[in-house]
Amino acid sequence: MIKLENLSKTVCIYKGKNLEILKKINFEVDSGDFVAIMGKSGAGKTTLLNIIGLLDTYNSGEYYIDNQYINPNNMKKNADIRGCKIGYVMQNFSLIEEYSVYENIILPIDFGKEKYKKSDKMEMINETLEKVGMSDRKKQKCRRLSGGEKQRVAIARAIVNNPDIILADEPTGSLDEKNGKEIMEILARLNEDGKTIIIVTHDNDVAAYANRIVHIRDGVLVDGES
Amino acid sequence: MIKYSIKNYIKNIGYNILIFIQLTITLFAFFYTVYTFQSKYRFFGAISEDMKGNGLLVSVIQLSSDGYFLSDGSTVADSYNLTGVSGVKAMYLPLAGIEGISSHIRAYDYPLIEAFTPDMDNGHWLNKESDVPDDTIPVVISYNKEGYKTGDMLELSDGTNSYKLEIVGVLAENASVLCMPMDVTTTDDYKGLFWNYSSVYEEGILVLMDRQELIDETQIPCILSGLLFINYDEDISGEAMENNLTSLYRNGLISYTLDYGTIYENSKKMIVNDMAIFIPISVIVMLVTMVSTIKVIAINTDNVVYNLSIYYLNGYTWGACKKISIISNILSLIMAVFTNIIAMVCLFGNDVIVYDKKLILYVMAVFTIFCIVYFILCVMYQTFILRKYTPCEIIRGENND
Repeated sequence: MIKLENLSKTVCIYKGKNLEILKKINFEVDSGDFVAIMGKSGAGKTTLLNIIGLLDTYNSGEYYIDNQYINPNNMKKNADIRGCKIGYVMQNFSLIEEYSVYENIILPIDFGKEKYKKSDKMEMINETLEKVGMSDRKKQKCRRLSGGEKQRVAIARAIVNNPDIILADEPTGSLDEKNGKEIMEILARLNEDGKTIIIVTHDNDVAAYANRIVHIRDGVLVDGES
Repeated sequence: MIKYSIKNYIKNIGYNILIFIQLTITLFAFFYTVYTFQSKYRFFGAISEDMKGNGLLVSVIQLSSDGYFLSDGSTVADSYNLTGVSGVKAMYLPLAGIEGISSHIRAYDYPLIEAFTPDMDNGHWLNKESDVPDDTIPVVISYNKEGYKTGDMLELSDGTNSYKLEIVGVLAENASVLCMPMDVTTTDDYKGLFWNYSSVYEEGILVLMDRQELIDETQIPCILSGLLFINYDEDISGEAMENNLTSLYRNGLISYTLDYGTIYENSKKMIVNDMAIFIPISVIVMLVTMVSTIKVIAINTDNVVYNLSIYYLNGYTWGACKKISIISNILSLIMAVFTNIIAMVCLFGNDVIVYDKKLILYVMAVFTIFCIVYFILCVMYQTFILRKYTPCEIIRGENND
């Protein structure tokens, strides 16, 4: 499903000084996998996840999703893929606080290529909210939600378009243990439903939900046990 | 895209209201400055072209020659042997009265009618075409307690014959009127040429008309009385001007004379002094407001840019996100301009719209330029932020690994 070949990412720190964040990464994820990427701060975990999620670009190497080459310069096509195939869950939730739960969740539907009737949109959102246990909070402004609730909304937004891949960057990083566990259980259920999940974490307990753990050190990927 | 642009605008309504208030303050500071300046300048503007050249302003009680009162400004030069005269404009006293009311009747040479339009309560000034019958003279009267209004008829009588007058306009209360007779200037500037006619302090109704209409429709004689503008040739010598002045004083009954140069210089000084008070205050208000507006733009941009990064996360291209940002700014701009126009019309009403179209157009043009500058600043600042940071950096915030 996801295939990275010799993928590298370099950034310019200041004039004339470059830093190679990812070094010739070779990485494959099959459909239905639950992969945890672990590593120290600054190792390049989030950068790797952002490139997989088409939020960021790479400098060299090749990247394929469903055997389809991803051209890092084709912004329009990458935005379309991001909108329909990938759902993103962030540590800081990445919700628009002044929007309601409904308004946040509808974003991927509105921005996606597929056009839906208003009633269909409502149905999709209601079904999704039910999956994350937030059916009764649809009209609530996000700023009024707790951390755990916000992360549920973020997950709802990530899955409302029924994407194949869910990427989660430290999804429990801002939550207490109880809420963290609940979020991971939601992700685990989604994996059971066939979603491919890639999660970035420092936390061994979180990584334990994955069926495969890989480590990244100084931009180099070290594959782990399955 | 439009939907989310509007959404962005509405969701940031707090900041947009703040921006609107700041733009409004700037507009009114600017408007007040221009309005004050224009209010003063329009009096001076009425005479400034003449005053730039050589000439003499004469406050006439009577001018006579060979035992007859002069009744035509164009005969003054010949009658008094004045040299170097290029043109004369005058006002006149018709030797007649209005039936049944106490009145002051004055007639103008048409160039003086054209030079200055006083503030009107209703109807229009004498420079506009009037739809009156052929045998009727259009007149403008002062604001009055007697209740005479536009459309009413008056009767002009010299004791033997009567002629019809139709009121085509009524001056506003305290309207400044150019060239009132016997008016003595105290500061030797343009202000002395205008008289604020008040129905409270003046006895009788002021009735103003075009002298040519009076000549065409009646046999009523009128004599030169009031202010007389004598324009000289550019190359007139100082000696000739001196001789002209001597001749006027020797042969005429004159209360006051002033050369154009003195009026022009004193008027300029007066306007500069007046504006020296208003301009710095207005400029400071505008600068302070602009600086705070830029600050609000910066805060608003942070909100907008974060929202755009979330749109990007959910499937929008970064280019489309930039367009949303621009459309949101255009909305702010349109709303600010639109609401300010309404506010200005409500506050200043007909005074501005009817009589000072040039002023309002000028103010709106400059205010629009200000708004466009504001808009460009918004777009530049947002473009700077959108270029400086990638969507990932904006989304991640502190979660940068």
